[in-house]
Amino acid sequence: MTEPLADDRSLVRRCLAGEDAAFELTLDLYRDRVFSLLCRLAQNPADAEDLAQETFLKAFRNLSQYDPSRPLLSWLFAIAHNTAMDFHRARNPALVSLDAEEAPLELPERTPRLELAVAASLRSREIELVLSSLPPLYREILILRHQEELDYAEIGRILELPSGTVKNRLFRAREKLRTGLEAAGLGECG
Amino acid sequence: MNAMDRDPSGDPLGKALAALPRPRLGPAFNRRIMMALRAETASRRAPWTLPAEASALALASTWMAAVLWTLLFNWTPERTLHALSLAMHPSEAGALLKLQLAKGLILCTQSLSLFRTLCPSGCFSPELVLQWACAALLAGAILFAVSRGPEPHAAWRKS
Repeated sequence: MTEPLADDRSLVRRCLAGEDAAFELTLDLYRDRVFSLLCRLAQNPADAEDLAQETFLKAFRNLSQYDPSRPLLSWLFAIAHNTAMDFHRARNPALVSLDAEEAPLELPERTPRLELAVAASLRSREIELVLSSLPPLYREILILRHQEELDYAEIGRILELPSGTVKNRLFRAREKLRTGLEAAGLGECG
Repeated sequence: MNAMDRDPSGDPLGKALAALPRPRLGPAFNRRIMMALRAETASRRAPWTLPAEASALALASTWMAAVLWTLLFNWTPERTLHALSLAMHPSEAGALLKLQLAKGLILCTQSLSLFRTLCPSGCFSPELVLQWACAALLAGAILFAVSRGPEPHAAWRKS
């Protein structure tokens, strides 16, 4: 996924030439993945759709700034991230902190059985509920890493963070999710 | 960082996250984006080129003006024949009325061609609707004029 696609470059070239079909193809290819990330960030499909629209319009307006050495989807994710953060800041300025990590976590004892049990028995809906209870910066990094399968460097470019911070944040996000799943009683399944 | 974080494929938590359903957007989303893009493109167009809505409005206005002008000053059978009958034979007046109708048609066709030239293809869907509406109006005007028929002027009848 993180390899830039030759198709992306030709797609962008065609968009810059004003080909309607190229814009449509870009939307068909990436619309759902951008929307999926934004749904997890906005937690409201209507807001997510508005944010997705804003993301694509910003992208199409600024296609000349696209770096062809990166995958187009990563660039779209970066725009989506900034758009969603602006949205959150506008709604609640105190809610989102982009850089400040939280105080050290009080981590529970790691139990390998827990992960096996989670793998065996978790249902999507229950994960979604726990995921939605996490702060947006954790939801986002979990989705980028595990659903979009981006590597740390690419996530770092999207979130404008060094790789070390990405790893740290991802670790915290996973622990938060794990704690949430345990609290929801899902750790005892299986 | 543990091994699972390096390799999401061997990580149950990661697998569970990866298996979450992706919310989807329908093709209506594409239409929204494309419409917004076209509107932006139209607003950025060179100032001498009319946007689609303005062209449609201008086209409609021209048609209306052409029809009204011809109805008021040329195609009103009484007025036309009154003017014509003062100077010529009624048979010639009838021929000239037809000529006026033809001139009106040419005027309308020319205005259509003009606005088609001004508007880039593909961005002017209201044009078709307006063409049909104006063509219907014009046809109505012609039928109105023809149904009244060329009436010889009273002064000429007396002579």
